[in-house]
Amino acid sequence: MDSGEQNLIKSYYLLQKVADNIKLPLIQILHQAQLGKINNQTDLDQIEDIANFTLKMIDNYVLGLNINDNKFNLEPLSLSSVLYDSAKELDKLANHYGVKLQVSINNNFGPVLSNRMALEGFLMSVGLSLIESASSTNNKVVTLATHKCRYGVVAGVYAKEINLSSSILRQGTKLIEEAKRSMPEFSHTNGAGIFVAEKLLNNINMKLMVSKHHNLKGIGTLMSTSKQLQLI
Amino acid sequence: MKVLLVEPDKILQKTYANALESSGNIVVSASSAQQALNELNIEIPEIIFMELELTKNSGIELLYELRSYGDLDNIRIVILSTIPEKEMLNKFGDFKVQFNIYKYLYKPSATINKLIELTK
Repeated sequence: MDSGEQNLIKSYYLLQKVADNIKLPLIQILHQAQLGKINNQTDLDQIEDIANFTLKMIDNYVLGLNINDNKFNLEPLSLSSVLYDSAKELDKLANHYGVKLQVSINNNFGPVLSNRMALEGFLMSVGLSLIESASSTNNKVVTLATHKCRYGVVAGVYAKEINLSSSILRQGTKLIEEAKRSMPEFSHTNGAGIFVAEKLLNNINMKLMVSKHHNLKGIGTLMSTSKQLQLI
Repeated sequence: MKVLLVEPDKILQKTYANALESSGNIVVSASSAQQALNELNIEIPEIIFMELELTKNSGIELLYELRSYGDLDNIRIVILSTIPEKEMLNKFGDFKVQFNIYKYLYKPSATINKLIELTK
């Protein structure tokens, strides 16, 4: 089986996971609406925020698939602006989950060469997965962060008490075809957001990895800063 | 009625707890199998609503645990899950009889009214 066929099969299983994953926000909206009919207290903000975010997740999934073989143009990006914009999108949903969202930007390392849509899509997809996981822990804080490392700059989403490791992520990716939920230690959902994020990063030749930010664990991606861009 | 709600999604947990409390029930919520067992050590409810897709442990493992304790044997258990009943039957055979499941509700077609009805 060539890599094109393998990709197609993987995309099929990802589609299944995404379709299954979209059930959750629709059930949230449905049951909130039914509750509203009973007690006249429909949380319309919640319904709006969930619907909005789910539509963005669908867009991320379609972007990740790259069906039209779009060119993901790389451009100089301010990582802090990408993080702040993604955090703005995630914040409303985090509130409904009782999770506090933070942004942590260490060091001024100038622009990175990347693609804004793919990077924001990555942060939002992973962000939602971590918000869902963190909401049932004692430490309900999720942090969008960047930090410098030996090889470049890492941007990612982190939390304190989530159960995530490289082996869990590796196993999850391996089991995407066999298991309905391939990372049950990490999330009660099927983790589709993580796999969508991975596809988005692959489109810009970047990798998804488990990473640490101070005492927090999470998922990040490594980018190089451009010395040339810094001179501009 | 005293209700134990085992629901890992916080948004749904709030919605269901709200619905059950507004119809006069006392609701204790748990997000995981371990939390559920901790709550059961404190007080035994009259009915348990539980999702089968939990973080870390599966709902089936929790069911085994619940039905292995003599004093929890008679609690009504209502499954409220995103897994279709047919899928569970195909995988686990007649688990409803094995675990003495009172009702199986598939979330997309379950209604808030039904949940409330089951506590009357």
